[in-house]
Amino acid sequence: MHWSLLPDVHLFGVFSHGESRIILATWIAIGIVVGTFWLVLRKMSDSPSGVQSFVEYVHEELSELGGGLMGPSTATYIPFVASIFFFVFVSNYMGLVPGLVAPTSNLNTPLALALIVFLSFLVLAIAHQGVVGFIKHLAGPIPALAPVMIPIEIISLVARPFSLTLRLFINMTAGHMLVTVLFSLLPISAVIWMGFEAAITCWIQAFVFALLTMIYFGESVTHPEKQHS
Amino acid sequence: MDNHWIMALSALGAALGIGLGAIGSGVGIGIATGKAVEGLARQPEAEGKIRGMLILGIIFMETVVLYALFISIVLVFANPFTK
Repeated sequence: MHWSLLPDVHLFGVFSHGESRIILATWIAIGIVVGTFWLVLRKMSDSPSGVQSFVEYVHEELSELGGGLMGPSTATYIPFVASIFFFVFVSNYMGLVPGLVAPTSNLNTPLALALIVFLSFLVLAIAHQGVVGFIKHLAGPIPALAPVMIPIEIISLVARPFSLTLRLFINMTAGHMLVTVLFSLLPISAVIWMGFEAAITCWIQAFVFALLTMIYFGESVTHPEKQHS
Repeated sequence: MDNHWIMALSALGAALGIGLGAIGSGVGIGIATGKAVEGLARQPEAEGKIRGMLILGIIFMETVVLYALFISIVLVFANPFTK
């Protein structure tokens, strides 16, 4: 199922056969994101066009959403969220290019991103609210219900990295698989429509990942009194 | 003989799993979108907020059916029970 033009990379004897293509694709995605930003930042103009306007548009939209979610500390975390968005965006679209493989179609890349987001959320929550404050936040507004609320909240917390990982991984893998299967069964028009659907799904999933990251950070950063259970 | 049973029941389980899961997700997202459009028709100025909440709701509803799809795919492609 995984035909690609990427060569097997045998560096330092570390990478096993199956994973080296994905790691090479990850490097390509990183290279594209960093290279694009470097080129854009080299000559920034006041009336942007092309790639710079796209980058600025994404940044504006994420900042606007983040302003509502994360409050005044938005500007600190937007670079992180935007990096995640651009990386996932480029990775997803690489799956649609005929010779390349999407790094996010392997379980490891979304898992790594989700773990980074989850650990950042925990560190931020404990840094902003303290361990006791965090547990009180988990307990909810009614102290008497705490023994019931805390296990439920912990379960839903632990479900977050799983849901982030699986959402991204399954959308990328299943979409690709679907187009492959349909290609052998249906006329080309159906395949073209599925290609459009896959193209839309790519940026939707990138946006969803970034949006959920902002929601989790907002939950950990905003003042506890402002939160409603 | 043993392996045949495992493969057959896994296929049945996978199909049932994703089939029933899709019912829940389809109904839920349909109802949510219907209410969102209704709310928009009542008050077109609230489009931004309605769209935001609709997208958030759809994300969570979609995730649950993705869990079911994941189990079905594991049963078909990476079955831990076949030898």
